Amino acid sequence: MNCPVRERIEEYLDGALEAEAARGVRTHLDKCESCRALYNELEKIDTLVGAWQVELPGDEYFRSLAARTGAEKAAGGAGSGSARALRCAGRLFWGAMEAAAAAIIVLAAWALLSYEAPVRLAADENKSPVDNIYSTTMTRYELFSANEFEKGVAGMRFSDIEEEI
Amino acid sequence: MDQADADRLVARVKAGDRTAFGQIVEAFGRRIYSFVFRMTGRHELADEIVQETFLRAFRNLDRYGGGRLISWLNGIAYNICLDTLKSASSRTEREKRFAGARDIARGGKNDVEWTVLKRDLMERVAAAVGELPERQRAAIVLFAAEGFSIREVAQIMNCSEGAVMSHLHRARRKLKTVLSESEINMEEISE
Repeated sequence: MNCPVRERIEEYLDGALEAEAARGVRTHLDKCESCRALYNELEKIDTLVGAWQVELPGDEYFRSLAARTGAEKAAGGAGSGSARALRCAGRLFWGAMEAAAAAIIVLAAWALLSYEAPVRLAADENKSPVDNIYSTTMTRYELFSANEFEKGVAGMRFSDIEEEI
Repeated sequence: MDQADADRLVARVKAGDRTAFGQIVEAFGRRIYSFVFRMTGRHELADEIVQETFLRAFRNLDRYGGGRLISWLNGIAYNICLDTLKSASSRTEREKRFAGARDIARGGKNDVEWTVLKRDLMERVAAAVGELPERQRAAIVLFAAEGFSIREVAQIMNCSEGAVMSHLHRARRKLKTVLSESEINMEEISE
């Protein structure tokens, strides 16, 4: 359908029409289904773009931002190389973030590798992998429980045992 | 921060009070960062451009002739974005931005808050905006996401209001295909 108003719908959406013209488009949209569909579609796009939320750095980033721009040094007349310096600062910041992440991974890997199970249990070739995992886990749990029980009893005072009884 | 407060801070910086500049950066840094990240899709690049924006703002504060300070700052950020993206317009860089755009869609919400459908749609929209030519992307981001009026967008982009509307028109047409492929219920998104 070729409504004369159709060409003005986007201007209306942009808020670029004078009050009277905007009123005219609004009135038309109430009556014309085709134009209303177009308006809704275009508005939907703006809504979606507006629905983005950028994941911002933390407050500390913005608190220290002025200092990192090197603006204060620039004011003191030492700013000729500050554009390069600020890039270095940026790389250092993100580099530090990456280094921190890498350190966490390395520590986690070290913790995993250095963990020594108290009892190593061989897998039974006749069982499925799932059954093996289950039976190994249960055996470990039983051994652990027995161990803890012994420790617990050894560490208990006579009065504690009496209370337990 | 309202414009009167911003003007007071600018006057203090011009008078030599450097701490006032820090307050300006803290007050407007988040909005500038949002815009720059939506333009670049990469945190590392956004960080560099945001720093450069405030450095240039500081050096050129005498040229700030009133109006909204946030528009003026966005104008500086926009120019730096254009220069930066122009020099990084190879296909590889575009692909990197595409990947970065996925971060945009996730936003500050966690996975529990976003359904798979919504996240998928937002990722596609973010990626589609990331593929728009720079001026169209800036126009739709400044207008629809940053909430500037057409006149303000024109000031930021240093072009006519007609040119902004033309960029918006083209951007919406391209993004329309993304929407037509999805069956998302808009009420869900606005919730």
